[in-house]
Amino acid sequence: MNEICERIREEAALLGRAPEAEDLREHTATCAECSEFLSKLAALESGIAGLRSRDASDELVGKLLARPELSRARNSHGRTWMMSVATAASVVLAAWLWMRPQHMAPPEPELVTMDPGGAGAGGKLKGRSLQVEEERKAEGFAGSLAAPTQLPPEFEGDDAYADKLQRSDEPPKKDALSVETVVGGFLGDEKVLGKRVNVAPVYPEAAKNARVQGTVALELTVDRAGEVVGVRVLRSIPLLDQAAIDAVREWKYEPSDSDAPRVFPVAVPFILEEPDGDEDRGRVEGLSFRDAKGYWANTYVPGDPQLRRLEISLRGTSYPALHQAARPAPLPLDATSRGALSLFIHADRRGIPSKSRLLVQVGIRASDHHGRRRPPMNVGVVLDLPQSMPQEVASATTALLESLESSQELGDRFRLIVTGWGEVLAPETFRHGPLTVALQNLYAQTPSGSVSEALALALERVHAGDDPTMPLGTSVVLVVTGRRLGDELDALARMAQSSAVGGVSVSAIGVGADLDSAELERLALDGQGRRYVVDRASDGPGVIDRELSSASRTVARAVRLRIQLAEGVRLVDVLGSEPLSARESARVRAEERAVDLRLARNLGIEADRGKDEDGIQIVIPAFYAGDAHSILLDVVAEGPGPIAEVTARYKDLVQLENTVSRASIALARSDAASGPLEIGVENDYRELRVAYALQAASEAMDRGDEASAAQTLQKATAIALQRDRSMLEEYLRFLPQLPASYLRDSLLYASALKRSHSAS
Amino acid sequence: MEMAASQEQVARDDGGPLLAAHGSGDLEAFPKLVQQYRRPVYGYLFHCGVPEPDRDDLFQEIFVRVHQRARTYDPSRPLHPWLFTVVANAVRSYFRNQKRRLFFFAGTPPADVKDEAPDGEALASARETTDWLERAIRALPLSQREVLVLATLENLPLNDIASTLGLPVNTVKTQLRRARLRLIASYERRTRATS
Repeated sequence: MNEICERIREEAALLGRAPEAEDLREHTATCAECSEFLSKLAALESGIAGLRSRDASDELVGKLLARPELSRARNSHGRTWMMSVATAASVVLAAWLWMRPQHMAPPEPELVTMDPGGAGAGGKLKGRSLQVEEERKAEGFAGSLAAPTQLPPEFEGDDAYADKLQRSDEPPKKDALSVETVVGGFLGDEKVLGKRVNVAPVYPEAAKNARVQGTVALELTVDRAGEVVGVRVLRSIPLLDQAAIDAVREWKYEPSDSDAPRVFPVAVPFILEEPDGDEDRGRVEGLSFRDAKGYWANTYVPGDPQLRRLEISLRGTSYPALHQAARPAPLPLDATSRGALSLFIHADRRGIPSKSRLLVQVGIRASDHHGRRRPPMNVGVVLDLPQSMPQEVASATTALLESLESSQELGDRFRLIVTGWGEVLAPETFRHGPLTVALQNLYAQTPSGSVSEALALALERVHAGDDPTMPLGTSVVLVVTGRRLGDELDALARMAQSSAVGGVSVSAIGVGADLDSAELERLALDGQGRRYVVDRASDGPGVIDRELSSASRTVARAVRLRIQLAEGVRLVDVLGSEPLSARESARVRAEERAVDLRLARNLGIEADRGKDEDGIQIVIPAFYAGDAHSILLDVVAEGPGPIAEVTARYKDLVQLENTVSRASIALARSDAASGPLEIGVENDYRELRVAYALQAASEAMDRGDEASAAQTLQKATAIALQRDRSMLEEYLRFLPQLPASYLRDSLLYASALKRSHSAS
Repeated sequence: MEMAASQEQVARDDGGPLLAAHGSGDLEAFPKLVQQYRRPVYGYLFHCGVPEPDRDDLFQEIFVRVHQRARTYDPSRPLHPWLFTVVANAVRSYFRNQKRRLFFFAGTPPADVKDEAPDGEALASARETTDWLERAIRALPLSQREVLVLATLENLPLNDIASTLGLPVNTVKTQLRRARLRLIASYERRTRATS
């Protein structure tokens, strides 16, 4: 293939057809390769053109159109009419009404009688606005400034609206409370607004001390160049006005095409930081409770792939590794001497004198070792070799596969899948003779093909190759590659991740020198497997040995936790978890039942699932040796007595039996000081809070919002344990100095680290 | 295909005024808009590999978002790129959240396991060309997939794709080229395997 062929391919692939340039056409006429390529392209394009167009079902569209969010336009009969008679101020109101949450009342008839421009109108309008505001509060929208997503951030930049204000004969009414509602929360999104320079207001000390907070509404006049040339207070908060005015005077907007000044309202919110993010903890009144039943999301993520990937990317930089301080204290839970899991339940105090708010910690600790002889393994090997292969690669590959073959034991099911060829050796033929022949053929004429297709096939076979004699948790796919994966890496990593979640891990073995070890790392991380590089024939046996012994870390499957609260104990929240929707619950149930049945078939562990139970249910698909995990519940107890009981039902892969563990907690009537267990619960809680703060700060950095990242971290220092506090302070110190992307990753990593309890 | 393209053209011409009419209070406008765009939007979700049943949820979410953001739409500009920006961003954030969800709340495995690795029977039927092609498109990286789907199935010009996805035109070109080359490569493998 020469340069012209290359050019034809590039151009044709862009256009989706043969390029038309004269010289290229001439070339195509004589070049067999190019004309073949073009005919394939044509076939592909006609294939794409012939794809069935997919359509949403009528039922789905019906469901969509019935959604309450969409009914807003339907009950807004008053609006169009109102626009025609509105004064400038009611334009503000009308614009707001247009965007108001749909469940608010439609405009009331009193507006109809409004006298445009009359003094009375202002009064009525004011009355109406206040009423609207009251409704807003009643409906729980009072916090909408704190939750700007409820509001249209684009409003401030709406030129049409600014024009309307400008054209009106009257100045906007001062009483237009709706201004706040309309523009509130706009600060977050500079892009939509056309604001080029944003300066945050400085919170005046006097206001801070007086604990004054709220939103100042201002009207800006912006000239053609985008400079703020006029500021008028629409809604005043005496201690805060000046600070707001000082800030907005520094703001700059995109220049406009028109000479007319732009006039529009803006809101400047002042929100006091909570002195202690924790002050709500002791509150027992006025809380809303959640149903302590149904399925909740599992929060145990073994061998978290993203965690490891972040770790590696962070290691590659020379910035201070602030996240390293984020290691959580080990959970003080002892492993059981027999069986796979131990179950614990503790509270953050020993006794309670009366109605109290409590933290209840449910802890699970896995035994350290699987302890059994290697179980039969279900292994799919994907072999992906380069076209022109150095001798060392061939001999290392041979050694690797031969040692796999020779370590085969009774019950093992190994298979070999070759990129471009498909399955070359099935479990029945994975023997020395056929393997030697297959490798000879392979080296003689290495096929080329897509390694992701080969991996897909391997995963399918391994997932399906669930012979009745095979235990679960011992299936693994090994990707053996002698080249760079390049473009295919994303697809491979995605498949590996899905597979790992489904219980089949994917490991990567690189052979030879022309490799990208970062690619292998990524694949192994996403697949929750391991990564090896083999460049000598003698490395083979060791790698296989390690891989086979490490693949079976699972000590328990289908762990179903059921947490029941005693009478008089109510649930405020399960920290970090969330109730699953009916659909998600059904999915979890179906998986649980599938594992139940498969284990019954495979290991003779009797099937025991099927009934729904009371209480909070959390299903953990697999639990790994040496891990510990905790779940924190925020509850209110009416008084001393039983608090909660937890039951764990699981498939014990150490003892090969169904196991049910129970633990319960009752609190005495006392105010006794906390012991180490109680302090452990408290610390666990504080660490979790810090983890959330780190995650929120990471998300803020991702948005480029350094200020709110700093605020979040600052807040968290109030509740953090001493060592976490120094970490948070370090982050605050480095926040302005380090690149945002690094901080984002570092914060996210620190957050994840905080949650991943190792066992003590 | 000719017909499908002309239908889409109609949708493109009519959608903008509909959204504008919706903005100014026409009660019938939004349902009409949904009817016109249901097929392209759903098709995009399908071909970008958003698995069932999340696809249905996302489909609804997108139209809710369009409804909410109707005011940011400038009626003097064509609706199609505006709307597909919403769609493409929704799909991107779906896949991003899917990752994050796995990260923090790994309670449920991703729903696409089944789509990506069909059982034996499904694999047999996937030998059929269109099924194979759909699968091959879904196996492309998202960055290539979105460009390819917009360019071929939606027939958007490259400039529109670039503004829809917020990418430089040259990046769009590169992704489109790569997507086709990759499909051809797997097409070659497939014909070799079946012959």
